Amino acid sequence: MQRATLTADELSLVPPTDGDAPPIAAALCDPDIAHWIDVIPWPYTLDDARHFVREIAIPGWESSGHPCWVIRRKGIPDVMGVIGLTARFPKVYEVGYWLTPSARGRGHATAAVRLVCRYAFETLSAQRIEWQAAVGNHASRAVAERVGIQIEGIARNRLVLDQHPTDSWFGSLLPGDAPPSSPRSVFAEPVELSDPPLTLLSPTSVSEDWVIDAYRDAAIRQWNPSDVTDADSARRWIRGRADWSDGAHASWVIAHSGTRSPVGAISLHKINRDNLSASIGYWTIESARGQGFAKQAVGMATEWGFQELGLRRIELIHAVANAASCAVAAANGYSLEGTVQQGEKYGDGKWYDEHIHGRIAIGD
Amino acid sequence: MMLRPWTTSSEDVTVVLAASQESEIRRYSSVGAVRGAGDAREWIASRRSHRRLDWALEDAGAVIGRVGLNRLDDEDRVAELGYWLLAEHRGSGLVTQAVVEVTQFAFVERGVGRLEIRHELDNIASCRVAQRCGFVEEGTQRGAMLRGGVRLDLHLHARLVTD
Repeated sequence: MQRATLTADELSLVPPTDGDAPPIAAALCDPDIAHWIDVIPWPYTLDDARHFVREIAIPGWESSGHPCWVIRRKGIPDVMGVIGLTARFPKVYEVGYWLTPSARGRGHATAAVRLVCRYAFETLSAQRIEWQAAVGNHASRAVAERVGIQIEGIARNRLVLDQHPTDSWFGSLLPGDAPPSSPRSVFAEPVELSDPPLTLLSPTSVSEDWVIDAYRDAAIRQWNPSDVTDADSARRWIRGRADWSDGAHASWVIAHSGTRSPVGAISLHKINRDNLSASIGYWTIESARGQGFAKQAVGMATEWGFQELGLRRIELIHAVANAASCAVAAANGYSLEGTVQQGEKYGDGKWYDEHIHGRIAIGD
Repeated sequence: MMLRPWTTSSEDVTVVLAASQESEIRRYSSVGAVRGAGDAREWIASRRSHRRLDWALEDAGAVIGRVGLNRLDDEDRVAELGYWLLAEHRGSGLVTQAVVEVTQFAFVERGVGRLEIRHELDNIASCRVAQRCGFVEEGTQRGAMLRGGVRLDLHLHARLVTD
């Protein structure tokens, strides 16, 4: 089969050659990438990358069973990732892809998957393109859903990751499928993020009493208006924050990694996956303040939003009078963009001026 | 009930030809493409490869159906199971017994960790066999099979060695 280079806008997809083995090996040494790839050798060596190019990629083009490409920006030699098709059944191909962390968050994966799907339909006459990713690989699923791939179910123990059987989300794109018209849910359930001494946990890991106590604190009530007063409202708070299914927010409880005792709450909300933007909000309980917990938690959630959700912009809005929050924003690289006059009514029923801070994904 | 490898004996060829002419089997199985004794022998020859194992299902000395494994030796230790039974022998529970036996073989002898059964949505009989044998329903694959120029949705079931 004719090796084909595919290009669109700033992307260039090129069939791999021997010279691509070193950057591929360098990228797949990163456990954060390799962790999500099915039955990949580990540790991944230069020999493994050479084997991939010579024994899988090049013959894959010859047999048409596995056309694949390295993902580059036009005119820039760096390998940003790899994307490929695998013939599964007659006229049925599976699409697979990975991108290095520094290449994420700019829509490159989405653009590459679109290009390759078009190639599969138009050149290979594919009638069904399959997709699967380990349950929890939200980054991959977000890309798939942006392209219009429809999720069909969860296949149990379908993949082998780190030598462990792992469930996969599976789905497909058919030639007649319309592009997605609105953002869809990409979250099956809350994802735990750990970077000791802090871990971001599912909101279901706290009790109603803990939530009620937290909202008794004058500063939390003032700067994070909420209706939590009793067991019922606290239960609604926990349920609402633990239910990520509408795709519009990702909310956690901030906790000590070792004891898992909670110290605060954090949320990426107003997630807009067409605009690739979100807002971030947070608070910590009094006994946990002054220890840099809010600062670190904002860093973790921000990183996750850029890396895993592929967001381009996150904004952080706080009352000007809440000076502590301003320091957290500054420490995390959220630039102060301006002041909104009387932007929101806070806990004491008064309207306050607000600072709007914003951070843009690195590389843009 | 006994499972044995297919042979190109005239008995097996006759059974394959009979299966290829039954409407239910024609509709759902690759054997439906068989048009004559030559095709039948080719179909039998294609039953055995490094990725496939297939058995003739015998009852009282006569072949009445088949059970087979496809896509074996996958690195993920995933394989697919398929079956059909001649019409007059349906409802006997024999195919269920045979599926249970081949499932055990796949898990124990071949180290399969996940065994899939896929069937067309309107093939209720196949769905019941899968359910009876403990294959959990996981979803519907859109347009996953081509039959007579039309792409059909397939119902995906799977049983894990740990189920």
